[in-house]
Amino acid sequence: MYVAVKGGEEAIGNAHKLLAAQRRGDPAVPEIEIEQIGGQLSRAVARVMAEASLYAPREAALAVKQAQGDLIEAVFLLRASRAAWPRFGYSEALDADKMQIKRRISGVWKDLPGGQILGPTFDYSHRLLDASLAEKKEPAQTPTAEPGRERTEAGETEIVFDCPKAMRALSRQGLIEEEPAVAREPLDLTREPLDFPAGRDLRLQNLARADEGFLLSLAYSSQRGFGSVHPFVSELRLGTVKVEIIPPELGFPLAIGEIEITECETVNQFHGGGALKPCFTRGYGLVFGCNERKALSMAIVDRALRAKEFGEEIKGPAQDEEFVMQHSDNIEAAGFVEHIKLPHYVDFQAELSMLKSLRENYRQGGGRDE
Amino acid sequence: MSQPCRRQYLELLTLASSASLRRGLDGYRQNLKYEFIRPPETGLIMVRGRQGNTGALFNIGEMLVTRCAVKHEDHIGQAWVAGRNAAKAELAALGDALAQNRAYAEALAPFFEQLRRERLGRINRETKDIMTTKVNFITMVRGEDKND
Repeated sequence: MYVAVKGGEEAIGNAHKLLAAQRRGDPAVPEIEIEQIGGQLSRAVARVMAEASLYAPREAALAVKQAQGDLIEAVFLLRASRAAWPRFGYSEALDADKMQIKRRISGVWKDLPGGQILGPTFDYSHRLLDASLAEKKEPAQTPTAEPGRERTEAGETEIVFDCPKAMRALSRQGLIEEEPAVAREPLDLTREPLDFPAGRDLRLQNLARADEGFLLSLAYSSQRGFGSVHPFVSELRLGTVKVEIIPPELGFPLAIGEIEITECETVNQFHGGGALKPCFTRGYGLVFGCNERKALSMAIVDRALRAKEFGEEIKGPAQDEEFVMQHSDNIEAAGFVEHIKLPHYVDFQAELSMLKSLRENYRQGGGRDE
Repeated sequence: MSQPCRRQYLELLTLASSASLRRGLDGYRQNLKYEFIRPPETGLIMVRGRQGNTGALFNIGEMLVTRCAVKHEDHIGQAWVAGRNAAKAELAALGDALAQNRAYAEALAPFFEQLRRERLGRINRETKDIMTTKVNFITMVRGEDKND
């Protein structure tokens, strides 16, 4: 237990002044702008939006600036700002099948309808520091850009490339478990307290906003044997989708914007046997923004958490929903770990006097001081 | 105006850039008399997905949006736009109100056509770039197979 303390107003004010000066850095260097963070540190912004569970690129970029690049602090800022806005309602379900694709790869099919589209990826890069990025230079061009020419596209119709879900090949043959649509309203963990056992709807919501590092480690632990999930990636896709709502005043579905998402579908080992026809099982990851590592991790942990559903032995933390869901949120985790730095003076005095009386008993019982 | 048609231009207004809306509608905003039915208000929409994209619903996370409704003559224009953007929501709502009004619809047609082309151009540009990264992996014979 911590106690209320008084005073320190001036010191706290000065600490915040110092923080602001530190944030600004060397005044001889231009101040970083929100647009620069949004445009050039887009993956930091994506991570902050995903973990804050709020898609708001501009506010997330502001949070990254305010937090001096401390991403968990930025998540905290964005999550806290969320509390100031009213909830207008729920969207219709996103459809990743209708995504404007920026990247789509499959780890199970070499040749698949629509092909393997690498998109903007760190994969196959050499991971060598590029000293040229430290110099000012001309902006990098996209592959089809014509240098020095403003591009005015382009035709009357949208260039459509057909990119059906890779999972379709398996589902058509009945080799993967079905995922039928159900009309049930999902629970919303921002509205009701977490209760166990939790359904997959709550688990996926929890994982979508979970700390990336925590999910990555859990997924890794599961792959290494603390659990049993080591899947194939049926498909990983990145792109933009329209978000639609049905406003009561209009009564028909209306796009209210586009968001970038990363989606991962995995193929996992079998369920069935005996009277049940054996089939592959699914893991699913869906994350705001360009967050590939997290989408993969989420799909692995989602499948690991389905252990009970498939009657699998619980062998690792990644399969334990209470362990995963209670510890996945980095704001709760940071709050509890970091609160111990706050004044605990009275607590500590109590422990100290307890120790002193133990010492006294020890001495009276014939023990000796060294 | 028929519903699918209104749906289409509402979407064009929503997905357009603030700059495009300013270019096409700011003149009307300054010169016409209209009132707010609902002044621009920022809030949250909980975005939903489906398990495996086809299964039961789940909540992914929230999205920041701004909504607005205006009344011009007898027409009520509605707008929902992404982010905290009161100015864009107001222009989009005014655009919706005017597009329902015969007196303005014709004059606005080129503007909507331009929004459509801008969006198409951006998507096509992005798609062309993305398609240059399409790869054909060729499976190689691995070294150890020689000893088989």
